[in-house]
Amino acid sequence: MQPVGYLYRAPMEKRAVQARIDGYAFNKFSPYENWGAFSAEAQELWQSYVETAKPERLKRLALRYINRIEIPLPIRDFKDYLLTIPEIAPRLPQALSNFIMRLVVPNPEMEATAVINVIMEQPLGRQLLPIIFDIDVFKITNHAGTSEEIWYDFDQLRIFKNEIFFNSITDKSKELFQ
Amino acid sequence: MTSINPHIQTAPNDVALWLGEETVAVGEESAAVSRAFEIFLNEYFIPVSRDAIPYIRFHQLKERWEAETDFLSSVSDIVMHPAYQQIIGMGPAAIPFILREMSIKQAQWFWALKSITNEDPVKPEHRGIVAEMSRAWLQWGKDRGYID
Repeated sequence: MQPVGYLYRAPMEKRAVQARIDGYAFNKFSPYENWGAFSAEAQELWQSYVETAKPERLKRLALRYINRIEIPLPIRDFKDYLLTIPEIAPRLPQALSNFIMRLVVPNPEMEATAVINVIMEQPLGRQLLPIIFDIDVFKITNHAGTSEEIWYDFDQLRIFKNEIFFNSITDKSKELFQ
Repeated sequence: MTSINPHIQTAPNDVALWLGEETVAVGEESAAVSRAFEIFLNEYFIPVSRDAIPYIRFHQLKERWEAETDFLSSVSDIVMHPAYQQIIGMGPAAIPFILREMSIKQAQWFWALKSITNEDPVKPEHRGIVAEMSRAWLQWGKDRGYID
């Protein structure tokens, strides 16, 4: 296996940073706190990465939020919790024991794209049904390596991500995050 | 491990790892997405309805176990992997497949064989010597007609 960079993990603080030959990534694991704290730390580490790796051009910016929603069983209808789910033809049996769905949603206004994966995992006992709601929003760019414009782009990507997330979950789902 | 960047200070509990060319799923949720697509891909080639055939089930589990434990050094982590535990759950049906695997490539199959058979043909002085342990189990399998 050819090494392409370093992964630094801080298990106690549930975060990681990937310094790669082909890019940089900052990861925060559950529980996610807020965008302000997340982006401030990502920016600080990005500056260190820029000083060392000296990237010439920035080709792709992305934000990925992988949410795990544990729905209490039994459920009457998935749409009580999640509105972005597979649709089964009305004349077919409506029960689902497993699904995996991938959507690619362009946003021409922002020149961005979202890749949405929705996956049903195996139930945890008889009480909870885990659904993975994975939103990966990205934008192809050609910024200079030291460009500050990327932070504006990230704010835009976050708006796009929020549109997808908050329009896909119901009030009942929001209660599960509290 | 040497840091490539003096400005990225690692905290006492931090772990620095080499990143390989393969995609790294760094969180539990991210691993769940990777796993779901891997299963999806496997089921494209091997229909899920054939999962009940022991040979197919064993090889699916074995491939998953090998792929996901390749980077692990702790024997307990390797044998506690869910796919390995599911192989144990297959019971005696898995024995010939495990022994055949063992005859091709040395791996940590001893725990599974002991768990399934409730036997241990390895002499005390050979414990920890993988080649000798494998030899003892293969002989055990031949004596019982599991392999030729």
